Amino acid sequence: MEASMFGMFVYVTQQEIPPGWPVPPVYYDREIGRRSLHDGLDQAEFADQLGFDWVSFSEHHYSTMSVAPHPALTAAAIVSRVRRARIALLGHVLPLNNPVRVAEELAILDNLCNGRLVVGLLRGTPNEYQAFGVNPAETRERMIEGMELILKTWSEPQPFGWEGRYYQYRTVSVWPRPLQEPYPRTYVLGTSRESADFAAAHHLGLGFSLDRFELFTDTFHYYRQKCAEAGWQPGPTDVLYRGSIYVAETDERAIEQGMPHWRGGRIATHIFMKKAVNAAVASVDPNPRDPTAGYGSAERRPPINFVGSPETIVRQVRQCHEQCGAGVIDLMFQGPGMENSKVMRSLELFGTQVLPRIREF
Amino acid sequence: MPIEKQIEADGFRIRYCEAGAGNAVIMLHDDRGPGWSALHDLLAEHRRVIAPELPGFGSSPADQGPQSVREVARAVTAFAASLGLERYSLAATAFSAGIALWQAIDAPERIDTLVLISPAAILPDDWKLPADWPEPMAKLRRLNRDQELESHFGAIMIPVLVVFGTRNTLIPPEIGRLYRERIPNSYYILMYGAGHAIADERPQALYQLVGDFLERGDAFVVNRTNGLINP
Repeated sequence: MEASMFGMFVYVTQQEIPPGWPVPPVYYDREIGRRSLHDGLDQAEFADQLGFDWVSFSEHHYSTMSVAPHPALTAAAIVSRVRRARIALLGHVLPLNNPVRVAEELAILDNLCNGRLVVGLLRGTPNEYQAFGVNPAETRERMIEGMELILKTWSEPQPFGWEGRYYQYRTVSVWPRPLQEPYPRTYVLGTSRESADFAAAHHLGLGFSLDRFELFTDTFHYYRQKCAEAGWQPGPTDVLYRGSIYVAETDERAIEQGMPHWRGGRIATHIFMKKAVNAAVASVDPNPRDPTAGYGSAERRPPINFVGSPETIVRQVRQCHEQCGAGVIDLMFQGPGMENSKVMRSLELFGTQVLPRIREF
Repeated sequence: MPIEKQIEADGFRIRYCEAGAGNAVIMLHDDRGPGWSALHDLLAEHRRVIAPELPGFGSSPADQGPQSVREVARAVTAFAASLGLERYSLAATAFSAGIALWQAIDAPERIDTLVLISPAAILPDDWKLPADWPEPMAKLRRLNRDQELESHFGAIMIPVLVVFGTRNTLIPPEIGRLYRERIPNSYYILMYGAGHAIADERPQALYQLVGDFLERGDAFVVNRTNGLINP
């Protein structure tokens, strides 16, 4: 089992900010924002020192959930400080981005980190489509087409043109090429059948997130079956699970200290849109994603995925591995409003007392 | 609707369909034989589209047809001359790509631009002729790689557009890069989501690409779509 620290870059403030998305910039304190960003970089460096296999970065917009909306920029900033761990971009919200530009950014990063890049591509959440004016109904197809185009930019040695449904380029010829051949280990981050189909057809990994482990068992088996039909077997690290975590010396202390940051879907406080906007998204999208689904529903999504003493966490990681087939866990250590010192302590306990014991899974 | 006609050329009687007016494009059919597709109709809105039945297909006597791809190319060049065409563009699909390429090699002064859709002029070494391919084609296709034809690729100076569907399971679309490598002024375009029969699967997208290329040649790489949202 490999472990990744997901750099959240949470904007940590004691100020009361009304719920809802987008968060008005008037609430933004420049010094707190600067510190939140640097705390996130410190956490990534510390995770590397502790022996984490990956540090990961993702894209989120207009919210206290993250002050690092451009994952490639953040990753570029950490490359020289994270000496050993892989740099995982998990990832760009593809429907919001120019796929050729994403391919170029990732190729640069793979060279900057000397071939340690891992890539994950995702569809994003409805609030983010709004941020870039993308029609929610198009996002699934944009995601699939964008992924195929990115893989082609990395593997095609001759200039080519692309006549897509959503993207059209008459001249594509990406420099630099990724250092890893033919390209970095890449994951499709999504639980739909289309995601599993695409991952299997292109020999890519598959990533799950946040929901109870057992809810992904069927998708895991479906993915394996599709891989077999495509003539290959996924390896242990081809399935990734992203979840939230808090580790303390005892179970009681972990729940007492960690749970307030995650309880009641607090992470979503600043990504939920108005009800009318959610309804509008659902009305135009043939495959709507309800961003509120799961939060507050213990059957589907627990407030926190891994919580407890190191002993308990080891048991939960084993469960995750057994139930959804994950060989990599990408862990969100920083909950909403969680100060840096707590994150660092939780990281340290995981790195010293959990990490060595999950290698065998 | 196209009008069907016949003409004598180079000792052959060639049937052809024609529609539209303006600069001429001769469209060479694929291995399924002569046909008139949505692409022909769309192109005929702005130019003269001529679609001959290649010797050996349809009502043409197979045993009296040309014995090599290069001979077919000469017959098509003679056909164009019989129609009084001094210059024209060529658009070839699948196996007829070799015919179009030989014309571009042997009669470059006549050809403005060349369009190759799912071309079969270069095939992978392990490629097998499908059992149901028509006899005229099977007779002409003896090798997956025609070294003589490919040896002339470097001399083709006209703009050449090569289009492959990303889902082509008959000929791997990556073959397109070989044309791009060897033909100096060529463009290799991937049609997302289409298989071998691009004209059937994404006719509008193919028309926009081919129409743009026939009209503008090399300049087709320059986007001239108006991006202004509100003046």
